[in-house]
Amino acid sequence: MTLPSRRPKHPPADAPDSRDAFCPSCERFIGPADVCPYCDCDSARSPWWRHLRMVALCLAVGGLALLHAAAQRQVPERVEIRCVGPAMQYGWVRIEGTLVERPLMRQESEAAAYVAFWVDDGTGRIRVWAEGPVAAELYRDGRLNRTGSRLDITGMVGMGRDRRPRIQVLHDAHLAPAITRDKSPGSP
Amino acid sequence: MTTLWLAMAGGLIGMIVACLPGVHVYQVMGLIFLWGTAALTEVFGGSAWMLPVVTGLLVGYAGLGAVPSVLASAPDDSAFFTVLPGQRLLMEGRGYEAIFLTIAGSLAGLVGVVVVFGLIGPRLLPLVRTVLSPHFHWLLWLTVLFMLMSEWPRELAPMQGGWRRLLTAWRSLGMGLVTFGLSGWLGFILLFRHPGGAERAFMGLGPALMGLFAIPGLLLNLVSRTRIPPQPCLAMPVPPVDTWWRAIAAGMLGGGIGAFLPVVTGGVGALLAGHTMGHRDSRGFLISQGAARMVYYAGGFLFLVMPGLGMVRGGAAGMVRTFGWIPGPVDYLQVLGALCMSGALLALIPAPMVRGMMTLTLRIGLRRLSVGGLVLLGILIAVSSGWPGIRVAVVAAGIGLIPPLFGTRRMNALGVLLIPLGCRLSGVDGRVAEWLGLL
Repeated sequence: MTLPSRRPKHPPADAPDSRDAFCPSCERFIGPADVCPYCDCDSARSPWWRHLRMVALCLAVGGLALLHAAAQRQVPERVEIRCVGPAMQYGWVRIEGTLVERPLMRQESEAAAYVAFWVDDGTGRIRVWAEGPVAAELYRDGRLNRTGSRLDITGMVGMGRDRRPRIQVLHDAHLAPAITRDKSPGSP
Repeated sequence: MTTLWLAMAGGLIGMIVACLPGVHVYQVMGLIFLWGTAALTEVFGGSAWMLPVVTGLLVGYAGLGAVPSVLASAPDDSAFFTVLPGQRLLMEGRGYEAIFLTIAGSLAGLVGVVVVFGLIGPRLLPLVRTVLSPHFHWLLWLTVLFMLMSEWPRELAPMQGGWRRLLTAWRSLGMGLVTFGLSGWLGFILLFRHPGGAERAFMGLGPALMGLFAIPGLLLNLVSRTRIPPQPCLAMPVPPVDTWWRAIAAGMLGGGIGAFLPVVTGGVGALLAGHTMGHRDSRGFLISQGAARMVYYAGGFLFLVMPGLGMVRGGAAGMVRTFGWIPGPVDYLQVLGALCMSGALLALIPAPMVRGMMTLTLRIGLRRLSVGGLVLLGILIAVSSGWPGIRVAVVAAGIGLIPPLFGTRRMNALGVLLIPLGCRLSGVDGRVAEWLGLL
């Protein structure tokens, strides 16, 4: 068995402080271990180093839990379609507008289902789409059958191949008939 | 001619950004696009400024990425493998050698990008993509599996067998998995419900990446007792020719995989390059890391304009495509020209910049440099993402501190990208987000 390396007897004056890598008691190389595996000395690290570990773990787990809780309660921003731009890519937005034409639908199977349609809120027009089980559900329950119906849509902004923003609906509950008064262009 | 000047300007800015500890070029690029797109488009009569400027920024940044990694342990998500071998050389008074070897690797990688990708890429890569694209998702998960399984227990010093030894061995490995899982959780939150709102959502990942990779190193500098020894700028021993070839080939391969496969970033590419190269020769390892980083950044961007490919890989290509770039017939040649021009700048400028940074670090000390870096990062995050961005960066820094404090790989923090985007590639991201209560 190879003997573990020992701390050099005469390190150069400008050598880095290597106390973190060598046991302070037997001076064998122990890497990042807290307790020396040779002599069981438990002061291989300064105590606050261990506190820092706890702080990091608490910050990571606790902070994530708080971020998660805040994210779950976050209400997506309601925006006008003309405001949806490239800087909003991957953003979570809510729009309300009128279904302006019959949706494009494709459903060979639930996994390959796809639906896309245009929505107009009077300030602009945007393409909204969904795929997979979400598209299949929207296809099944007929929410998109009536052209001219007012819709309340929540989704994620992305950029289409035509380099124009579009919105992806990620859950079927995120597309519902709007309950506000119809203000679509051309409506009475 | 304008293209060349713009590429040089971009290259210079990229090099300056690379020298600032912790600052990521995508964050600066995002601000340029956010505030400057309208003005620059008007000045240059269209989107023609985008490609050379972005190419220059990427080449400059990738080329000098070793400076903050070696001097301040503040790498980005693709340079963390240079930290340990680089700092080892720094502590031996060979910091210049570590940095210049990485820069030389970057230059060699750039030549590789221009020659190999430039000449055979348009014929070969569209075919490769057609063949591989149905398999991208499982290739990605296999890469992740390799990444997690290739970690080894570092605390396994000789001790009696049994539960204690098993637990000791699994402590760092387990914390690596914890880091991977926590960062993946953060990635899901950011992807589906970014706390910063929608207005500047395209820069939403920036604070997380800075928190995971750059801030922990700077924080540990504040509390560590490390003193950088004097760094004499002497003639450096040149590694043997076969080391160069092996290192550059490994870097090209690793960086190429990172650039070509979706979601697989430069960090994972660097891991592959490192494993191809082995750890026997730290100098060759640094060269391979420099090459991998350059191939990842520059090669990935070249794929956007490559005839027959038009693939969006990396944040820079995404931003260019998002912010109104209109494809033209000479885009490919324009980017190749910009790569050459900014590469020439990279060959000429680094020596005084590296010397200046080294002198500054030695004069003001690592702690003050780290304080400066943290303040700069705070300002940048506040400007780009506001208070929510600061919150995300703080939590990400907590996750990013786990690897250095528990002796595991920093790369595990790449779960922030790999888990949510891998799930998206496999078509299960919606289900996972729903299960997490984020939909």
